[in-house]
Amino acid sequence: MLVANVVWHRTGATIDDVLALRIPGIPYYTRARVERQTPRLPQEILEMIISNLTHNIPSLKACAATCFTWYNAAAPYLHHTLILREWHAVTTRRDLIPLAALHQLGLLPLVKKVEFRRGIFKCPWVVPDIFGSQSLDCFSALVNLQDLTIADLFFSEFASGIEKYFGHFSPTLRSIALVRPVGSPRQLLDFLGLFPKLDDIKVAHYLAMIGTHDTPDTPRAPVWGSLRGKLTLEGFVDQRLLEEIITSFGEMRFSSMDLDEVVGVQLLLDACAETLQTLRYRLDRRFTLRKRFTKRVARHMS
Amino acid sequence: MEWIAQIPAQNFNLSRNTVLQSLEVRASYPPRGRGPTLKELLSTIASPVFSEIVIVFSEEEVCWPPWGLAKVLREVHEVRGFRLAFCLEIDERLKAANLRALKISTQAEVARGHYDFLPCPPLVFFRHLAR
Repeated sequence: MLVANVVWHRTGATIDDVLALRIPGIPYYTRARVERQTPRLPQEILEMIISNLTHNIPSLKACAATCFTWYNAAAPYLHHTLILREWHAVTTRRDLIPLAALHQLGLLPLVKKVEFRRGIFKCPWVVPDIFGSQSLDCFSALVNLQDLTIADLFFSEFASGIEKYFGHFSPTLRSIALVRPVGSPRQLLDFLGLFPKLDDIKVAHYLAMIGTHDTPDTPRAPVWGSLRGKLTLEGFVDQRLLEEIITSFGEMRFSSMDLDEVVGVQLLLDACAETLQTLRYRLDRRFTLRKRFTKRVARHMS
Repeated sequence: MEWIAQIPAQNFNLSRNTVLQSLEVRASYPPRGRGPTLKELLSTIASPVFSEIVIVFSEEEVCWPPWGLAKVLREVHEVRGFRLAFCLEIDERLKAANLRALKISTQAEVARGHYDFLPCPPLVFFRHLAR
């Protein structure tokens, strides 16, 4: 419409002429250009439309199928989150199918978040076996990863050093979530210490194993610069470990906390006394023991 | 090897948190008798900028809001003034019916005068958990 207005003012054509592209004094190729540009939305408006659909994957896919311009606007949201699942418990354990497919298409730099979901039969599957040379190549292409979620991470499975598999995310990773991680407190701290630029940390239902991995010779976890984002702890029942984490974290400046079934809440509140703006906790929830999970872990470790 | 699985009951206070602005509470049903109550916790807040309580619902809890919530909040408001908001947390796509149900039930409670102690009616909004 804006283009039509400009053309109308400059040539004195009638509105009907403009709409029918019968404009005196304007050559055909200019008319053709006007015709091509007219249906295109301004980029700002297009981005506003797409930003309202960021959680609606079917609509994003429909937008991406519209034209190249719309595809370019929708693609960063469409490939924002990469979910990795165990596809088959026996035969395809080494295959990270969506990862390889996205790598072939050159889309991995668009991925901002990777989620390792729970395995089939709820058994841990994020183990060194799945990181073949091809998978590691794919992982190194995730150059803009900011958010990593891993379910059922058994630290003891990574005897050769877990940094080999996840360490290259350290320059960009801002948020990490570990759901039901199993390992010694030192292993947990060392893993979190791989990512010095973290803002947000989530640890849910951590199962602490005090065992052979916590010898005095084990190097201490590195100290973070300053944690300013959100701390989420669920089912965190070891107050000694909490004290150790607070010491290792150095300066804790979390602005938000989400605490559910945590022992030692007061330690955290006091550690962030001058920065905590939002506290979230579950009211009157009965603490529960996860007997079934404990049995499953014991069975796996044996 | 030792499995750590003992969880004692506990209390905590917010008297040292000087910039606390908002308290978000997930109200579970049925209520249990462990941990500090909202009233007890609010009485410990010393932050001069505290202004808001957000009651967080999951999609399953929308149809089963905690019984007597308005009454509890009225008692809590006597301890310390605040604005109230209800937040519906969703995993992926918003089910519009759930948000509508929360808005309708809140409007009905406001119409009955259950929230007349507040300076303004509760705000209802939703939030994505996934991203």
